[in-house]
Amino acid sequence: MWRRLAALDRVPRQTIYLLMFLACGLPFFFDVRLPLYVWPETRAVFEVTDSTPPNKVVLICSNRVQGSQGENWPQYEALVSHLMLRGIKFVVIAVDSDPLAPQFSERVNERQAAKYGRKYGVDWVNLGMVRGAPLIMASIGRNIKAVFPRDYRGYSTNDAQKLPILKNITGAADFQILWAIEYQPSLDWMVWLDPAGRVPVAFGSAGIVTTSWYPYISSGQMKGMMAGIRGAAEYETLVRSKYGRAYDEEGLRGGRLLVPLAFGHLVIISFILLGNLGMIAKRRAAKEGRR
Amino acid sequence: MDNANWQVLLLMVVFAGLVLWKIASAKRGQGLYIRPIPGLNAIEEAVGRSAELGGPLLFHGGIADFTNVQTLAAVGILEHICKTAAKYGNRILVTTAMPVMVPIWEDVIKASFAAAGRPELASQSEVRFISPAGDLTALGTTQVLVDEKVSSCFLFGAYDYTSLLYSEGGQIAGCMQIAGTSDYYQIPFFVASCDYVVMVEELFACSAYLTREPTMLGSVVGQDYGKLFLLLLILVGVICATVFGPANPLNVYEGLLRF
Amino acid sequence: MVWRRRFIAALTFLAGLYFLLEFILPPTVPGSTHRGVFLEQLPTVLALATADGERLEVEVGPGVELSMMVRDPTGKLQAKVQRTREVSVGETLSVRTRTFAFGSFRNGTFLDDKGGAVALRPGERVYSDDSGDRPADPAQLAPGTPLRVEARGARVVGIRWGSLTLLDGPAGEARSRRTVALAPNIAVLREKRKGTPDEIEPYEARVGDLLAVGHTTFLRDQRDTAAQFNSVLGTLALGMGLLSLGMVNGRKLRKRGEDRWVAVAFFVAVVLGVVAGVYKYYDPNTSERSFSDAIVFKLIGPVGSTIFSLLAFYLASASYRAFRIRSAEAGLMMATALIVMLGQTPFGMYLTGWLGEQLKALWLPNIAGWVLRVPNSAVVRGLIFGTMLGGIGTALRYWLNLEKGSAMGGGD
Repeated sequence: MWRRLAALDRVPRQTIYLLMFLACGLPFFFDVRLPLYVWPETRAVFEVTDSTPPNKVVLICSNRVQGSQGENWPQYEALVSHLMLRGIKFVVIAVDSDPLAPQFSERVNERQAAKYGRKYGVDWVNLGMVRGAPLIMASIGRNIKAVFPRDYRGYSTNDAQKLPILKNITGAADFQILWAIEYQPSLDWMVWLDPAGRVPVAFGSAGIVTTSWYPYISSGQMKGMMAGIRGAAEYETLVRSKYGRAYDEEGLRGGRLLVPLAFGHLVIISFILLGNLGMIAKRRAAKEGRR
Repeated sequence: MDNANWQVLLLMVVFAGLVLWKIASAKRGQGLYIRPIPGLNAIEEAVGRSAELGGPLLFHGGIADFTNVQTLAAVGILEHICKTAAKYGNRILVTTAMPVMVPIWEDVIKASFAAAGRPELASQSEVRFISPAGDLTALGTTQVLVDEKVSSCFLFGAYDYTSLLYSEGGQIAGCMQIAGTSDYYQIPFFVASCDYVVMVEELFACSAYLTREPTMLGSVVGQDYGKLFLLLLILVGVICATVFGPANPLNVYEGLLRF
Repeated sequence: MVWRRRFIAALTFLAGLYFLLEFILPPTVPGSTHRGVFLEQLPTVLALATADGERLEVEVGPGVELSMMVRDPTGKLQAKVQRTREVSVGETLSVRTRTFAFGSFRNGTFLDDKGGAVALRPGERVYSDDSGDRPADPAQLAPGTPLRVEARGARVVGIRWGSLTLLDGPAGEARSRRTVALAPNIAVLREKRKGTPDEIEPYEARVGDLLAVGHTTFLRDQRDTAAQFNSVLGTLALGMGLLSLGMVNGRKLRKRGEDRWVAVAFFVAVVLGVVAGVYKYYDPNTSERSFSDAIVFKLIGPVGSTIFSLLAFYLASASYRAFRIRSAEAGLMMATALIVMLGQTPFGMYLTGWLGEQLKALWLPNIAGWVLRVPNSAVVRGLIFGTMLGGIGTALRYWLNLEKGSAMGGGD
């Protein structure tokens, strides 16, 4: 028996790939929803974002591009749908990213705006991309309009007719929270954007990177985070539980992507266990063979 | 960034001072010890193996440009690899997603091969800029591994999610792989798919370890003294907080964190 | 090569020196800086010769904005706001003296939204956000439109600098009043409870504010310039990338090798990319915009996602291959990994949710959270110390040109 089990020690790569494909692909064809436990890190940032007063804006640095959109798209969508639902004003920027980042943000913004009837320039503005972190982060904290003289569509940021949202916005004091959504957001945001520490910082990052944010959350330098797809799904859950029916979840990805993610994890865990079983079996088989 | 307060200034002076002090004492000829780093000792083995199999070496210097200190550390490692390769007569392929890094890698290869007395190897070597998108560069690099029959692969520098694309690609292509990064959350990926991994701050000790240059050795040892200082700070802080509670008389540490 | 190396070393040192000095030096010259509680002030008055040849005196106070008019690359006039301390005699400025909301226009006089007449002094005109270079046309204004009274193209012919009166010395002791005269480049800083003081205009001071008044070290004024310089360098790198790619592919085309079709594909892709990049600014319903969206979201997006998804497969096979329990430590690691992985997925709740609220601490997500928040944080902190100190060491070596290697300009 050991000899037969020893085959598990060397499962061909292709078999693992196939099972992974099925685990991640099949859930898309069934409408499965899984229960969710909301982590305190997500709840903390939700509450700060949700309590934005009308004279402040949420600053979002979305460097999300094609590469990491698997995790960052649901996060950005969850955040923006919440802001649009509540009518919270937000400013989207991109720092040191792929030049495509603003276009990726605008895609989500426009879709969510159509759902809730929000208007560009009034409820949100996309200022495009700028390079030169970390110094430029400090400049953004001092005067965002000086760093971005024009927005993504070419309007002057001083033009209060076209972009009334920016009329009373200058720097750090006007930001309720900074959201940096990217595969691995830069730690520089915590030090440079607002050295006085008035602006809470929240990250939406890939799941793997989140392990490195916990020390900053416990020290209070960071308010909280959305951890991978799980974080996005939790954020959606929080919005739904607070605003119920008003929240239009059509097309939101967080909760939907959580299912393939969970099954993918299951495949990995089972293969690790099987691999170990195979290793033990191989040793036993070798021992038996020697006898 | 705002101006430094006295606490930050103190830390700056202490850390920089320790590094400079150790550099000075190393220059005066004081012997300094760095423990062996297995990943770096394996470079020679990897280059030799590649020479036996007849393929070129592949070096990837991370996803960042030279504003990232990890890339600077990678530059020192590429120099060492070039010098080792000059001994065995291997050519080197470098791939990058950073256009600004192309002339720098070319320069490093040219200078190191020239210094080792094999300038002809530099003209056979190549720096390939594949794409500004990190993921496409990773896939392109794995294609290079197959096309050029690369047998040893070096991945040093800053990495993001593409780390596994490089290293697993190399694993599938059957390369001997040595990787090093101080982006600690990528280390599990490298450990799973590379033969040797240079971890976190070992990366910054690499050029010192390889060149045995006194200034470099001094700075590495100085960093360790800095770490010792931090450990003492933490220890005293923990004891004070435990004995006196959070409002203890020695609570200068609160101030240290608030800048 | 020696001169090149020296040049790079000197440039690196100077750039580093600026940031170091900017970081450690206070914004005003120490020693000659007066600190105290603000009591009262005498405002600064500018004497202007306006574009129409009129004389105008402007007291610098709330609502006043002094700006240099500069043309941006598209030819539009952009105002660059200046601090009062930066103004010198002989400069031509655009001076905003006050703002009001449009109410109506009667008998050649503007009335604000409260019905008060806005009296214009000689040389002053009324502008709106849309009016650009020309004064606002009252016939086209809607009530409530924000308007500005400005004297554009005015030359500064004289400055009567004001002064600030501060209450000196620590609280509780005998304090003395001290009047500090303002002058060019005398900066006024308002101290905050936390962090570095902000620079303010003298008229922004409120009674009771703790102020520091002194000659500026100029280092702070250059912060945004340094940031922009950095930004421009970063952006140039993008162009360099395209150039480098173009050269590589141009070489391929010229060699007429097998891979010349790759080069052709590259150039076609560049053209498509540029077109898509230009069209992305069009309105959402135009065909240009749909073309751009198609390139980005139907081509680049899926390709990127596909590559990212490869990670799942690679990860599964790599962890299967590498994650074997060969020692007790590996066993511990495996147990931890299982807890954290399951805790992060909904299965964590399925497996332990039945324990109920009382045993909440034993729910897998909570155990996983503890692992991440406590032991993991400790490890990460240790690693951060190592990385940051390593960074300081490497940075120092490069800054002081102690690095011996080819990266700093060729050869040892």
